[in-house]
Amino acid sequence: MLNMIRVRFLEYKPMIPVFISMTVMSLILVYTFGIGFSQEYKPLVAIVNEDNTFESNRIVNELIAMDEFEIIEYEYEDAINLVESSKVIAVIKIPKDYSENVHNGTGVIDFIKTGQVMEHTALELAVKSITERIFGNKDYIDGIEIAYIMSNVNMDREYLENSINDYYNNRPIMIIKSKIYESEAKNTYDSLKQSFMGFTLFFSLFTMVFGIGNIVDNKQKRVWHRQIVSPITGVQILGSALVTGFLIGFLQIGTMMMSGAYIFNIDLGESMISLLLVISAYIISAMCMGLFISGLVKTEQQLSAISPMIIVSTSMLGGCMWPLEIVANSFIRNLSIITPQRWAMEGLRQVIINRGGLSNIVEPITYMLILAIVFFGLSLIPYRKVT
Amino acid sequence: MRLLTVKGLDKKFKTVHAVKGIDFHIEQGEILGLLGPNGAGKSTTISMISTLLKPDGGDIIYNNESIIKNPKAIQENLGYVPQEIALYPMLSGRENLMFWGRAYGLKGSTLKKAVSEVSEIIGIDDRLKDKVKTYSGGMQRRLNIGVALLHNPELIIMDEPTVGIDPQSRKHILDTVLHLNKDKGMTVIYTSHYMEEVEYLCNRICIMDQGKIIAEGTKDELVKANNPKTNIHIKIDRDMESAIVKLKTIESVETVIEEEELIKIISKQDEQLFKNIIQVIGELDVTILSMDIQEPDLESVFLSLTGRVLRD
Repeated sequence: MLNMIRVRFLEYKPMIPVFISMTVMSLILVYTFGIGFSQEYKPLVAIVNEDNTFESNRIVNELIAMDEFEIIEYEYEDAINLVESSKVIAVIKIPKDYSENVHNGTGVIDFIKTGQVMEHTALELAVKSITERIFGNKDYIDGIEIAYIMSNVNMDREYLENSINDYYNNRPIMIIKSKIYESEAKNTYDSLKQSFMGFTLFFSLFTMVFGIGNIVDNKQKRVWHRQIVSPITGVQILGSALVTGFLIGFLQIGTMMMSGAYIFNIDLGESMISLLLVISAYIISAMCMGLFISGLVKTEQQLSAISPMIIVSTSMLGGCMWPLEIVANSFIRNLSIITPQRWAMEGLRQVIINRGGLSNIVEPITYMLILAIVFFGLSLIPYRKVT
Repeated sequence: MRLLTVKGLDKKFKTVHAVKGIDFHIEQGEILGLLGPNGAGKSTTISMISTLLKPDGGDIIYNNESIIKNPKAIQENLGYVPQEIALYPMLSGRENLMFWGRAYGLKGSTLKKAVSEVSEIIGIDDRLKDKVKTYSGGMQRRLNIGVALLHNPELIIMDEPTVGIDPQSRKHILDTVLHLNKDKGMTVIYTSHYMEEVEYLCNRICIMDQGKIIAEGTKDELVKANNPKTNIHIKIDRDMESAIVKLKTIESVETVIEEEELIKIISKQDEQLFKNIIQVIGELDVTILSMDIQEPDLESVFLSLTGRVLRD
């Protein structure tokens, strides 16, 4: 096996300049998106305050003060126009009498959005947190406590807390009613992080195809034939391609990710181990898919013709170009489970966007490894077929 | 001792019946030639012997073991030289030799010694550090053979190893094959459509055509068994008509014609033919200016068997 791996690395040697230029080209893309991140990209959000009370104004001011979003106050009609044309990711509407309705448990904030982007969840959580705090028990208790103190009246705070908690237990102080705004432009918005992850996975596939090209070249030069009549086993022949392709692919994706993180300040989440595991599983499954493809072609010309088609279509299918959530067709969404990109995107999303850890990537990694085993098994079937 | 036996070997590729139930064997220490035109089934046959292709029928027994059931039985003892240059062109000659040596389990000083010996045998020891793509066609062919010799195989299969190379490299390859056989005791299966190569090298010859073995034996056996004709061209100074009449009286002579101032004789094989011709011509008052005798060869055997020339 080591002998095969050694010769595969020697085969890669003349291709180092091409490999470097491919990595640099991919890095330029990372740079392009890195600029977006380093300039502190903030999604635009419109807020409509029809209530115009002390509390609703406080909600608006606290939302505007947030770092994560660029929130601007608009009239309702203008806000709808903006969301319809995808110039804002959502409209937060505080309706008339909201503050009053909160007290009788029917207060509703409308959340109007186009499509589905990652930032929606964070925005909803922020609105909920601010509203709860403003209308929350603590504010009331603090206010009452101050009033009692100023009146020189003794107060049992614990008793007061319990009473107020009991009172509000069955009266939700705030409800967010979300509705997806249907418009032609609803799918046009995409997250920059999504693009960064998607393009990294997408471009790395081209480098991996380089490794597959070596196998096809071996077949054309009949070195492959010589190998299979020697004591070298099929697992050694294909396994060595997998190992070298893995290391080269890991080097490339690792370079791109690290460049993104340290040069362009792209936030890669909190768990580096999870990130590395997702990348590793992705490279293994993508390489095994490549090995399977190599069994279907006879010449490098055929591989050159077929590989861009497969890379682009599976990347589109796997959600590298846009979030799978916005794909309406359930058949296409289901079909995506056979692409390593879909699970890699899912894993990266968990780690980079949701800042998840090992427990969040078990499912995508399991699927990627299953795909790897299936593709590797399938690639062993035609490996002895010669012409 | 019988090293390899092929029994009823059969292979089809979709509509082409490439090998049609052939039988032959090879003894240890022999050089067996598979001779036939392109498309005769030689490469398919040796591809099955080398375990590259699986036969549709029949069996191949190597050292009393079926290699169809257990391909490993032959793989470790086989040196396979394909028709194509199956090498890594971007690697040096040494890197290629080291890789293939390790593939057959050689390592350390044994590997280095084998690489050194083989590179000397094939005559590329002064170019070992250069990339294979910079080698001439002949050198690449020699290295192509060299990588099959590193593990000192019991059996070498060579598939048209001299295609498209210069006469000097060709001579070197043929001498290498003889050296391997005589000095190292290696058994060789050699395929070619060059009759003279097979005649020069092989102890025994199987002539293949259209997927079948149409004749088998030593060169002399093949010539005798298939009764090809002897061609003799004689030039005399005068009286050609009388000479033709006299020559026709020789029993083994079939045809005598006059063409371009030559008397052309086609005869059956006859050990007394030359003596009889001299005697008959001597009875006339003429002088023989030249005599060209074309003994029957494998080409004429093939012509006699198939009605076609070997290189069609």
